[in-house]
Amino acid sequence: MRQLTTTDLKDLMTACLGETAETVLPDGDAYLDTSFEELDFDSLARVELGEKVMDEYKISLPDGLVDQTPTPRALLAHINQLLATG
Amino acid sequence: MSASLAAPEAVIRGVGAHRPLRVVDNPEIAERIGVPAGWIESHTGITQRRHTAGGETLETMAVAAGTNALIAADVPAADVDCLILASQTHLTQTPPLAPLVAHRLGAHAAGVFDLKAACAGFCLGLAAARDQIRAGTSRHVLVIAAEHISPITDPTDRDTAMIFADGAGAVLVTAAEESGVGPVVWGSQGALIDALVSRPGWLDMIADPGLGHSVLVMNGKDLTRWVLRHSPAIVEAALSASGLTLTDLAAFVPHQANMRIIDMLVERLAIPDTVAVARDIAVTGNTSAASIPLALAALLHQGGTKPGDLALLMAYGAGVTYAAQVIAVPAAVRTTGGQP
Repeated sequence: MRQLTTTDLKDLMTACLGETAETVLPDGDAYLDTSFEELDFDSLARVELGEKVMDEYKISLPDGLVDQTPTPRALLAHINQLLATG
Repeated sequence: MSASLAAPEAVIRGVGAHRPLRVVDNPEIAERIGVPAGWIESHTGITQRRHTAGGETLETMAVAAGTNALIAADVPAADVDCLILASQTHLTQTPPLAPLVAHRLGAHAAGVFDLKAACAGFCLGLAAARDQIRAGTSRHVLVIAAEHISPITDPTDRDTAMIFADGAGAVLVTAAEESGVGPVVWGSQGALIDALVSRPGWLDMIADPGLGHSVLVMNGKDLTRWVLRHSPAIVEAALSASGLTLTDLAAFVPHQANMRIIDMLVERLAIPDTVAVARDIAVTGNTSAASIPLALAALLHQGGTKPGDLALLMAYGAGVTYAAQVIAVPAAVRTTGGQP
């Protein structure tokens, strides 16, 4: 079963943030425990992230999942749980 | 009754626009909504927008854009058979605005009506114009889309104050032998009615006059999610209805909602690099129904297309309402007010 790695998630978040990613996302895995709010990851970016995950991993995410999940690490766990259970 | 030899086709002969005089830049808005300088551009791609000034109103903007379309098309107002006024910001319940705009233009022979379909109003009006011409009801139809959104925007609301703006655009659609306006693909999704609403409503204000006046309240993420999921099918259907593919297009003129949404659409729809993408929102903001004709006018002024090029228009907005069609780009454009 394909899983979402921390690198995968960071790449997807970088794609959603565009030019601002470089200044917003910290080096390494430090972003994982920073809240989406602190990362300036706004509602449009969250929508885009959810759609990208669904497109690339062929899963269905509940509409509010990315909005209601506080940190990238928590989101990673949710998504991988969904991927594992199909 | 006798049968005509061939049904006429519809073509856009002229584009008109009016950009309000007052430029509202990001620092002014940023201070009001409490964000750092630079935040608005990085989150919306908008560097400035325009609000009315110096006596400009919804009516004067609509008349200016309509006049400009008529001048560009070289069609006298007296020859207009129908005037369609698309707007969601005519704040007088009765009467509609179209009769007054027709009167000011001198379009005394025209049948007139207001069309209220939020940001999709222009594309729906263009579809109605095309079908009237093909049915033989009209030879010249003036479609005006005008919005005066600043009075119903909460200047301190982060979701709307940095996005919405004022302006008007118009096209003169006329009968021709060759088709210049393709079949519309349209629809709605009323389950998302709460994604963009004006609150409080009339009945709430009557029940409690202390509520104050109505302002726009937006849940942008629901609208964005909807358009990202449905735009590929809408675009494919609009192209297919005209017998085209993406590679036939010279321009893509989506509703100017937010630059980041335009970027997402370009990626999701796999718009080829050879297609000019309208990005008028950077200097105009989101003008709802007026956004597509204003963006089309800007493309023409910038020389981003040449006459006869095919452009895909795609509009969506509150409701949800949506409509898309392919047009042949006209040669003639005229803009008054602030230049793009």
